[in-house]
Amino acid sequence: MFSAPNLAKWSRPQWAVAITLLLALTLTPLGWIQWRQVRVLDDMSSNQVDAIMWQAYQLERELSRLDQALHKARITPEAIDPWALLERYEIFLSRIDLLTKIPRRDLLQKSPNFDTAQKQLDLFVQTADPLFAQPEALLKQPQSLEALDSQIEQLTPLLAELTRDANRAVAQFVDERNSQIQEQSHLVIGLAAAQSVVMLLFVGLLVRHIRRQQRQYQRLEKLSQELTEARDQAEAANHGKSVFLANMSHEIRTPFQGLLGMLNLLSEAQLTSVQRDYLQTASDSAQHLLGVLNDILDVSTMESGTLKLSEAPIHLRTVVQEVGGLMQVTARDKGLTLDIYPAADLPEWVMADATRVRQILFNLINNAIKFTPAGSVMVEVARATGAPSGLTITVRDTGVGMDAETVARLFTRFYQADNSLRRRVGGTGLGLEISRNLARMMGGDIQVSSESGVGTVFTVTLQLSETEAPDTSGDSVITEVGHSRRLRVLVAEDHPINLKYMAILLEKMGHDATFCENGVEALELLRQQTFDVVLLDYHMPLLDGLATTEAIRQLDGPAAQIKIILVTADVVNDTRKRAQEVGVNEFTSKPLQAIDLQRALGRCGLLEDPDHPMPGVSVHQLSSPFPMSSYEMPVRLPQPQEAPSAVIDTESYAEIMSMMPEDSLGELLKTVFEPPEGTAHVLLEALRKGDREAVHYNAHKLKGTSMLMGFRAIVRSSAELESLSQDPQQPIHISLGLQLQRDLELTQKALAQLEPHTTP
Amino acid sequence: MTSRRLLLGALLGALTVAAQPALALDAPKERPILTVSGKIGEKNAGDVARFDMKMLEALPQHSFTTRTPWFDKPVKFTGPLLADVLAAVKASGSTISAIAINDYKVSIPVSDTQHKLIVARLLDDKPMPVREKGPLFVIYNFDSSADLRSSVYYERSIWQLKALDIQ
Repeated sequence: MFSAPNLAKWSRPQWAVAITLLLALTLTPLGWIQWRQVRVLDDMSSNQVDAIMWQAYQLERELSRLDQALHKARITPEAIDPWALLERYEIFLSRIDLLTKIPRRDLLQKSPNFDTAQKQLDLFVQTADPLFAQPEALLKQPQSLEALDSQIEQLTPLLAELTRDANRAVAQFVDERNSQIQEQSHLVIGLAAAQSVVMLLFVGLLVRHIRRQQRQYQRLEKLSQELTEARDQAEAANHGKSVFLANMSHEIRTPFQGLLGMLNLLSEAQLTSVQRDYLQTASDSAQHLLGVLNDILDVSTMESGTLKLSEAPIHLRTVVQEVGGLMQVTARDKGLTLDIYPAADLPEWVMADATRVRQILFNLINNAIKFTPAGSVMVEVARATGAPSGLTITVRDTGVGMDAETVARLFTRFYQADNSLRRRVGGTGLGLEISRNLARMMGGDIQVSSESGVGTVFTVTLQLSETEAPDTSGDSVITEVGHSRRLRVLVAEDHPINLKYMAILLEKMGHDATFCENGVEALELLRQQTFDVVLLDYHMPLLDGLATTEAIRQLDGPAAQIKIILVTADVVNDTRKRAQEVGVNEFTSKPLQAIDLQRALGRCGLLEDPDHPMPGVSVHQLSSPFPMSSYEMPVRLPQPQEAPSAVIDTESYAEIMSMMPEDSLGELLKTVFEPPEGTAHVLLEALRKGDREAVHYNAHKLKGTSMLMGFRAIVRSSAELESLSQDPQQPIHISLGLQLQRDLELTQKALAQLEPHTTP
Repeated sequence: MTSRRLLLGALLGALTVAAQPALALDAPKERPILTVSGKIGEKNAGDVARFDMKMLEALPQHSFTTRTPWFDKPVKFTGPLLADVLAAVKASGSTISAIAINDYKVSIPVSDTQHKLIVARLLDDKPMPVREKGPLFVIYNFDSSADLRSSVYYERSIWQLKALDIQ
């Protein structure tokens, strides 16, 4: 069957060839016919074909005139001009040539009469010519004239017949020409019809092509519409998932805070070393889990576009050193050196979200440590060349490195550099994505260059504008836990574990707390009693934090002016903005910590005597026992020989520091670390000597002091020594001594890093 | 029409001046073969001008070879331009009535002289007797233009010419 060529696939030369071919096919025969017709017409006009009849008639007529002249000459020879007679003869002769020597004489030659006539004419000329050579003499020879006359008589019917022949020949010629033209006309019509058919075919193909294109266009349009709908649906589903994820993270966090709070409180109780170890492991795992949850929450808030940076002046060098200090422990545990090099010309104070800057640093340094089995990790912080407010943070390691393919996929969500490493190093695989998003939100980016087996360099660029040192008087209260006045606090919190935790916390802080379970109860209590401050949970049944705030602000009397602190785990800034609009004075983040609460109370102006102004907001955030991200807490595997990352419970230590005069704190530290009298050294000495009793005594003593100070690592190792030394059957392994020694060093190192910021 | 006539007048004037010495139209010394009558300025025999072969031969001669319906091969014609003949008699009409020996008569517009038609007196360089359509043959150069190859001009090509009457 005939299959239509696909016109859409034709290129310009193909079209040209097709059209030329089509034109040639149809126009060539047409042209040839036209040319033929022109030829015929030209032949007609230039050869005067139809004149043949006229010439034949003229010949016949001239013969008749000659005959008459000769006749007259016979009757009255004296009246005839011989020269006129000759002229008449000559004219007749000229007529013979006009019939026998013309171009189309062939038309006449076909007639059988033609030859006879010509022969007879030749005969006549042969006879007449000598006679007419002397026309005067001819007139005097009647018999010659008579002979000529008789010959003319013979010629006359022949020429008459010739005239009829000429007439027939011309008629036949015209007939032939007519039929020829007719034939050609038919041919032309046929060709035109063929041309029309071909053109119609072409038009048909074109129409079909256009129709097909239209159908295709419609299909595409429909498809694109379907795709748009599908995309919208997918986006909606994805958004729903993000919202669900955020909600779930939130939901999980709430009981988690209770869990962590309880674990925190439990750690302060009298426990055996084994129990303490279990507790520590549980606490570490819970913290790690919380970090992972925070990662997921971060990603989902980033995805929904609601993550906002809360910028405040931060002391850049301090923030970097803090993170470095914390990670130092991990690095040391792994036998790596971690060096932090802040450039000398670094801006002192910059506007930034300290938490987020720290998050990036933690993530990158932690990654570097994770993937470096031996060698060093180097962190450089410098001003970026070019941009005035640009900063460059370079994290360089001598680790396993990555190949180009891995580097290319590094920032992909859930991608982990080496699947075989995954189980060993852990992590959610979200860290780099979060870090890069954060860096981009800060007007920068993260670049990576790596060579397999040589190491990796992460370069973070940030745009952080330089700023003035902040007025820190508002934050000074944080160390004043013991000196602040007793406040009447109303707490609205529906979660029983959190409620319990907050009760203990507030009691420890020396405040009077009244509890209720929701906003409605809180409003009732406010009408009946007088309070200094209300702590409202953001999520509550019946009336949530914001609605309760609105209701409180509409109460009668002084209760409407009460300070309100909103306790929320929500990192979304929109929440805070809305809360401020309805009249919330301050915020504290969940899980609630003494320091955060203290600071919030201070900002509300409820605490007096800010004796010791303390610069550096960030320092105290560092002491949070709760990780912002899973990367802040290196993964701790539950083997006892694995050294702890946080050697000091900074919160406990901070509280000790805030409660103790500086010199007495020094005294206290000396009793532990100062050789040779310090408990630690006495214990080590006893271990060397193998004095089991002395070991037991000093281990117990060291444990007690360490628990008070929050020296977790020392608590653990001394507790172990204490319990081992109790049983004479148990050998005291030398490694325990080394462990203790290392814990002591780590603790001192950590103290040295906390020291400069906690004492002005 | 007016401009053409002016042009023709100018042309004739120029020719008149150029041929001045020969133009005191002498009487024919031999047997006259062409008689020009009608609106003419020069006469040599009463009311008409007569030419013998010598007089025509004295005018500037022109030649061309062309195909015709009357000869089965191209032939060469030689003779004076009709325009020169008209100039010689100071013709001033617009139409020429040409008459042949056998009294065939045809009308030639004076404007046809732009086609360089000649009054041929030689055929293939030989004088033409009457039996060979002589002695004079008004002929157009048919091969020079397709426009000329039509019955109008074929009809105007008159042989055995004996007289011109200018109207």
